[in-house]
Amino acid sequence: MTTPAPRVTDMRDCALALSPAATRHLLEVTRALAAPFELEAMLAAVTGAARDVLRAERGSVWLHDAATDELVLTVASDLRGVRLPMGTGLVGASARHRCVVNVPDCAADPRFDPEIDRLSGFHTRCSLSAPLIDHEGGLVGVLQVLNRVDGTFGADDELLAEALAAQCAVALSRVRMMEAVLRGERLRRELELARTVQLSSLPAQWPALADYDMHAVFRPAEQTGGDTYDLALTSQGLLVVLGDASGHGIAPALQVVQMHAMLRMALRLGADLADAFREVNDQLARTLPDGHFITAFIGLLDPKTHRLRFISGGQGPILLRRRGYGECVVHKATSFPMGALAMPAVKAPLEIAFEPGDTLLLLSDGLFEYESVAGEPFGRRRVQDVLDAHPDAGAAELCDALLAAVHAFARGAPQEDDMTMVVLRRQPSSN
Amino acid sequence: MGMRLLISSARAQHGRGGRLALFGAPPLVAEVLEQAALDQIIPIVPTEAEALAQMAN
Repeated sequence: MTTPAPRVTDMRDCALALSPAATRHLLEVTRALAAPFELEAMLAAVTGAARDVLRAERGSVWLHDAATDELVLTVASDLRGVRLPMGTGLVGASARHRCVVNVPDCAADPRFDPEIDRLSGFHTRCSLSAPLIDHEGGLVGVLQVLNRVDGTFGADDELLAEALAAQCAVALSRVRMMEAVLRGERLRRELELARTVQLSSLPAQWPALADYDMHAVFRPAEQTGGDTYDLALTSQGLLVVLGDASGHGIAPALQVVQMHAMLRMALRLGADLADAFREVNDQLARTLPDGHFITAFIGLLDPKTHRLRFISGGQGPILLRRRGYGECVVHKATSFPMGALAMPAVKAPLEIAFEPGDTLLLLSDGLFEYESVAGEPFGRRRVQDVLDAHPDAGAAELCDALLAAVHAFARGAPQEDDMTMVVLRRQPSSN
Repeated sequence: MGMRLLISSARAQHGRGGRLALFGAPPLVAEVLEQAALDQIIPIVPTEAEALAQMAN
């Protein structure tokens, strides 16, 4: 039995009791522990040093799993992964009471747990355990040595073990902090990549179209949510797209880029809207992971006839404000989300005739579903309120007003999903 | 999240040559699903009886 030993902070206090060789070895280990070791190698170095310096047959390190409050055997000559509930055995006692536990005759000590010996086939005579406490006072684990080759562990050994344990705990904390930093760094880089990919799918500039005023806003969330849009002049007219791939991160960003590319290619090859939609849908259904989908509004505006034909796969509500004022005509999606299932046939596109002053608003659900601090979504009603407050407004003005309204509504609540807006207005003065 | 599960189930059923129908959805939920035209692959009906009738068609 041992009373808690005084904390040793200066290695020189116990160096006099060691042989020069052992002292050198110990100091080398101390210096090595300051290097950015990979965890396993570092722990192996510590147990090796402990064995040498304390002249033990065996050494081991048990790490504390805070989630389960168990001690896990992490470095040992043979057994690995053995788990002991806190307080069990001599290591458990050392951890619980945060003191060195020196037992010259383990068989006579009621705290000794013979189970591990049974598992390993080793016969433990005497043991010395020292807790690993980090600089914040947190329990990191326990360092244990067994069977001093020339007898039992003495008071000097207790001091040494404490010193070694102190060095080890600090090094462990550092390794863990570094691992956390690396994980954070990897995540940050993945998000950056996702952002780059997502931005690459957006048009570099919007087409200039006589009689039309268009504006788009793209506000990705911190964890990119797979939104995309397109405004482009094609041989079949102005292509208008608003897309939203399910999920967050790099996968949906890549998926919408694919969708973009396929759609542009299909149209360039002369496919009509319905066929292009079906081809892209079926291809997505083959390649998207199970359950994933892309909601997409795909429209073609003929600038001469002022007719917009569109198919919307799961993307809605689609708002049309006639002549610059009043309640919007609301269209729901015309087809189910893209990529969900192959389509044997697709319904004919819906057609909207654009009158002067008519405004089409495509808003991704990141906007409608933006939650305030109280958990209330922004909703369609508030969108209409903003429109009512800006009659006869141009596309850019409406986008700005909607963004400002959402920002004010949110009152600091974080943006959980990408927000994208595409607004297309036929100039009121056009014939 | 819910959408993914519904779509995944519909896909699995269609793959087996089976069908899916949804009944008893609260109005807000039904509206969201209808806005996204999900009712085109999973009919949304008010009662269990009507759902079963869907299966028979």
